[in-house]
Formats: sequence, structure tokens, C-alpha cells
Amino acid sequence: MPEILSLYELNQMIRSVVDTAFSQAVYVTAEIASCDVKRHCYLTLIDKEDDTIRAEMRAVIWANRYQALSRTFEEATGVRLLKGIKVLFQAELSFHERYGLKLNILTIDPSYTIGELAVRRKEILERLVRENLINCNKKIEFPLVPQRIGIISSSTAAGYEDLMNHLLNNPYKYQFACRLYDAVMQGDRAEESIVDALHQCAEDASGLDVVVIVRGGGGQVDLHCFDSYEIGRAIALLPLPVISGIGHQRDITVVDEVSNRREKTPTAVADMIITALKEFEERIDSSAHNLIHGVNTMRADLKENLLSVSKGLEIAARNRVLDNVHRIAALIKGLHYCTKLMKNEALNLRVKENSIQHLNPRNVLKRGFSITYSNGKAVKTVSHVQTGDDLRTVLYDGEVFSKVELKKKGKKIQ
Amino acid sequence: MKDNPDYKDAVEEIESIVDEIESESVDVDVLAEKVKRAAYLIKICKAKLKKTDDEVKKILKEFERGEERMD
Repeated sequence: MPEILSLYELNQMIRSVVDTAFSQAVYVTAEIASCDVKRHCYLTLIDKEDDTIRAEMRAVIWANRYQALSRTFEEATGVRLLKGIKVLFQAELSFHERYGLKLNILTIDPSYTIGELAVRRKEILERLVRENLINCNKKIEFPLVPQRIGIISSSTAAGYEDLMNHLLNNPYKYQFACRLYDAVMQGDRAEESIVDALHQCAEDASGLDVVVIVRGGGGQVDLHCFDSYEIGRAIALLPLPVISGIGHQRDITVVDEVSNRREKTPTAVADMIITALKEFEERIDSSAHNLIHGVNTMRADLKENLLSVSKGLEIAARNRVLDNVHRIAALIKGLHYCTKLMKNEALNLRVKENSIQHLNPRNVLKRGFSITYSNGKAVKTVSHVQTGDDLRTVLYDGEVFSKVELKKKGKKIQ
Repeated sequence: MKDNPDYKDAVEEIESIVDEIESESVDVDVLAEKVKRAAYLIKICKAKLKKTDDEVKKILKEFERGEERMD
């Protein structure tokens, strides 16, 4: 018959084994599955392999340590001790007969969590790259005039108030249509809540130009929820450009990486939007200026054209007149030439007349020549006449009748 | 030619009119008409930026209706 123990006796034995085996503090890594702060901080720690929990244990941070420990941790890591956070801690293992096995956390090493967060963020980003989601929202053309704005924030958040104040009280009196998509911006429920809000924005997409995500103010902690694959994916699939204004200096979260634009603070988001409107207005103003200038230039050119046309007309007319003057002058010149030609001709005629006069036999007779006729024919040779013939000699001023007494052949008169 | 174009269409139309006028490819006969059109577009763009116009009111109304549906 084996020895029979009461439960208490059994647990006493376990306690003594545990105390002996774990007399020294242990260093353990684990993921926080739940965290409940009453006076003390009660945690459930788990260890997962491929999403399957392979180990689980309760832990506690006693109130006297919790304040300092959590503050140091938050300042160093930017996150709170929350579900999903991986930690490396130093703890004593204790076994209580009634409450069982529990880790009593003494210190937490923030550098391990920082590394884990970075690894996690890197993994999410790599997955978004793999799924071609990382640049989806960046590829959406940023609207020329982002005037209809969906705001994902908490209605009570200081950041939301900053954004609205800046937008509504802008110095240029630009008008905005803003709609709040109220969401939980920190803690366990943030991821689901922000994804829901993004889905609502997607439904209202036709009435919105941009979606702004602004955080609820407060400290530099609790950015953890913005390193979320689900939020990253919802932003990537949203057909509207997202501006992140989460308000942090430390790290660039997944939300920042996936969004179309990122600004450091909600105020900076408002300034960016107002600047976009201002740029648009300046573009319109410059067009208006160019329009006026263009019209004036065109009018001046038209006037000049008209002037040059009328001037051209005048010149053409004057040229026409001048042409005619020249033509008339040329005609007159031609006329003069003709007259001269005629004069010459007259002179020639007179010369010719003179020479013709010279040939007149009457004129020849005048110069002392005479014509002798025999039997009605002019005597040109001695052989034409015989001794005893009657001759009639015609002189300039009359006739002489004679008889041939002798004829003698002699030399010709040269 | 839409009477109530969005900002992008409006600014593109305005700029193309200005380009035409600057390059003097506009016929004098239609110049006045073009200038009038550009001035109209500039006016409505500026009004939309600064006044609570009907469009903004319409959007807000749509949101309200959407919320009623959700309730």
C-alpha cells in the first residue's frame, strides 16, 4: 500500500522541491498573453511555436516594484507591458500550496523587447512587401485639393483636437468637410478598432479625398498597435491616400511605412493639408494673372497688327501713285525721244532733198552743162552725128540751133 | 465642358485656356468666350475653397444619411 498524502502534503513536497531546484533567480523569455494591473501586476506568460502555445505560466510583479519597473520599461521601449509584447525578465520561481506555480518578476530587460519589436516590425514590413501591399497607398495620387477629410482618431484625443483646430482656424479661410471615424488608439483593442475605421472609410471613399490617422496624444508609449500587419493591410487596400500623424519621434511604425504621407504630429498633418490648398489657390491665381497678361498681350499685338496693316496699305497706295508718276515720266521721256527722232528724220530728209535737187538736169544746166539733141535724141557720142546735121542745144535759159560743120573724135572728158 | 467640374479638371481647363491665349492660337472671335470660361472656372474654384458651398453641405448630409442607415 503506497503512502497516502493529503493535497497539502503533496504541495508542500512540491514546494520544497521547487525551492531547492530553483533557489537562484532564473532568466526567462516569454510573450505576455494578458496583463492585469490591480495593485500588483498579474501576467499570463506564454511561449509560442508557430502560433501554438507550448508553455504557459502565471507571473506577478509586486506593487512595490511595478511602478519603477514599468516606467523604466516604457521609457526605454516605447511600449507598455501588454498582450503580445515579448520580454526577457529575471524572476524567482515560487510554488504556493494553494495558488500553485508562479513567477515573481524582479527585473525586465528592455533591450530584448526593443529587439523583438524591431524584428516583429521588420517581419510585418517584409510580409507587406511580399504581398505587394507596401506601396499600394503611396501609389495613389495625392489629391490636388484634400478638402474632404476622414479622420481616424479618438474623439477625446488631444491630437484630434489639435488637428481640427488647425484645420478649421486656418488663416486662408479654407473650408473643410471633416468626418471623425472614432477608434480606440491604444491598447489591446486598438488594432481591431482602427481596422474597422479604415473599412468604414473605404465604404465612404467617394465622399472623401484623404484619410488621416492621428493618435490620441499622451506620451511616447503605446505605438505598439501601429506596428500591425492588419492595419498595414487595411491602409494598403484603402482606395484613398492615408496621412499618418501618429505623433512620435522615436521610430517609424508600420502605419507610417504604408501610408501615402507621414507627418510627425497632427498639427503637421493639418499644415500639410492647408499648404496643399494654398498651393492650389496660388496656381489658380497665377493662371488668372497669366490670363489677364495674355489677353493684354494679345490685344496689344492685335492693335499693332492693325496698325501695321493700315500702314502697309498707306505705303502700298503711295507706291502705286509713285509707280504711275514714274510711268508718266518715262512716257514723257519717250515722247521727247520720239520728237528728237523725228527732227533727225526731217534733217535727213532735207539732205536727201538737196542731193535730189543736185541731180535735176536743170540744175546741171545751170552749172554750165548743156544737152545737144540730133533728130530728137540726145547726142552722147560723136558717132551719132554727121556733118551737116541740124543740132539743137538746150541751155539753162534757152535753146541754140546749129549745123555740124566738122566732127572730130577726141578724148573723153574726164 | 462641365458646368461644375472637379478641381483637377477645372485647373487643367484653365491652364489650357491660358496656354492657348499665351501662344496666341486663340481666334479673336472666340477670345472673349474663352476668357469668360476661364474666369468662371477660377471663380468657382476659389469659391469652393473658401465658402461652405452646396457641395460641402451635400457631403455632410450624405454622412448623416449613412449614419441613419447604420442606426
